[in-house]
Amino acid sequence: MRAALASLVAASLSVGCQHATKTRSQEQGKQRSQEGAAAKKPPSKEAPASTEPTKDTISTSRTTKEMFKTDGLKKMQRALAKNVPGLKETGQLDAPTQEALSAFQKKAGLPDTGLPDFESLRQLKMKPDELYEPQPPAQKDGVP
Amino acid sequence: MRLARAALDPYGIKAARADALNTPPHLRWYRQRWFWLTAAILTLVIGMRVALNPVATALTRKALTKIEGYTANIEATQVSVVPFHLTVRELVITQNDAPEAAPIVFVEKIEAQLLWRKLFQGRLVALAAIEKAKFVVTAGVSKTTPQMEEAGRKASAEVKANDFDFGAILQKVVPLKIDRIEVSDSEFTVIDGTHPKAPSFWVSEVQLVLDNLVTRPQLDENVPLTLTLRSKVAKTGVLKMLATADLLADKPAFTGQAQLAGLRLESLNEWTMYQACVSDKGVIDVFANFNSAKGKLGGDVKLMVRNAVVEPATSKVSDALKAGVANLAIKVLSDRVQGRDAVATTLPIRGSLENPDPQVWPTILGVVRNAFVQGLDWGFGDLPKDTADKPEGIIKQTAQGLDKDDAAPKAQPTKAGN
Repeated sequence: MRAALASLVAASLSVGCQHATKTRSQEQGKQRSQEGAAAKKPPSKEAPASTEPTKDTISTSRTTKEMFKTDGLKKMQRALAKNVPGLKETGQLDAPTQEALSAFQKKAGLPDTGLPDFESLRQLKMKPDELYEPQPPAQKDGVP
Repeated sequence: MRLARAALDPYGIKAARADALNTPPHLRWYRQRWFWLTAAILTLVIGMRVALNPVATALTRKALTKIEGYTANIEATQVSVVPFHLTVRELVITQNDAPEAAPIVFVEKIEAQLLWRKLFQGRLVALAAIEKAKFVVTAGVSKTTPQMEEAGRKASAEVKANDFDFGAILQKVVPLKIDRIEVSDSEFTVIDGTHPKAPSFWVSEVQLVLDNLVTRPQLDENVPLTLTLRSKVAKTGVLKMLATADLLADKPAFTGQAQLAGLRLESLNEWTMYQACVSDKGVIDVFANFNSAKGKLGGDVKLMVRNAVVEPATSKVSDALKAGVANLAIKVLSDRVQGRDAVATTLPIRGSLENPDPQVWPTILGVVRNAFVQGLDWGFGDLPKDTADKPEGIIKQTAQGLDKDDAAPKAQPTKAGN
């Protein structure tokens, strides 16, 4: 244990006392924007609605994403777009989709989780197996 | 002529009477079978509904008297035959020997109804909806009853005897199954009854749905059991959870994630002041990702404490010292990512359902990496953590973990092989 702590301190000193100032996604974003500037694409006229998660919505992990069928998510987004014009068919359970689903559930008198449950899907004229994969991803692909 | 007749009999009553009198007796409407059949059915349905309500209320109250150590009562029940529907209103449960006899459970409405689509498949399956429920647990005061302890022992023995085969256990339960459970606008409070000020922790606005609890191969609609949840925690945090599971597999399989975001540390001050004589400011976010199949377990819990400041709760020197040390540690271990100043790390958990293995060294490395190398992303984007192919020594883990060009510290494989 002492050896481990000593190696940790030594490694920290070798790294230097400069604190991390960016996250991995920020660095990747910066790299992408630099590449984008190099490609000289014309700027879009409208800023796209943010799909980033917020306190009231969640992003999905690598394994959770595999719970859903992409076509099913798009079909759900198409159905929700009747009440929320402009909702994009991203094929992902992103923040705008969760917000639209939450509004739909409130209107329908269902528990407003913002996440797709079977009754919400039925009221959107969908069957649960159109959205959900038949097995939990861990069962199909193994525990990562 | 027609106008004259209309003037004399503006509502057509006389004309209708004349028609009836002119109609042969066996064709008059009150002699028709369909009329009496319809009347009989309506009388039966209405009569049953009126008669069943007090019977159902009495039976439910009688069943509730069997709970030892607690007093339970309901306001009323309503029964509907078509469609079959049972509603229980204002269920109240209080603990008999609690000092204030405050209710520990209050439920405004519980509804159960049969699912017709399952009935056509030959199964009795129901939906249960719980509305505006309040649960209060007081540590040091709330007690378990002998029935609860016996039920707990039996359940534990059943699970062990079946080697965690929840599917086999489920199939032993009574035929009437609950396919869907909804909980809406409910809350849960934990009170520390051992403390004079009785600090409390409140989870409110609970919205929960459990779908497809009746999971049998021929009736599972080709989808797993699904859980969705949203609630507020201590007024400031938002808890969301999403999971799917297959309880019919030999060992339960599940995948899911839970997120607690934006919980302000000030809302926990009642507890921290009692436990450690310090109060905190800042925000904590927790992201948990979990997977299990064939007895193996893989989980990751990411913690982020943002903009944290610790203050002494009293003017004592010891409290000031504690707060000072804590603030120094926070200052050293925070990243400098704009807008957050977070102390963050991910705790990997590997192993099996029977023997989960939380891994400390990757967790410690994670704190250091977040502070000095690269800030952790907010959210689930980097979860689950990769697991190393072979066990790695501490020095190798440290070197890789602190290298910006290398990935974040990996979880270590266990003897179980994951």
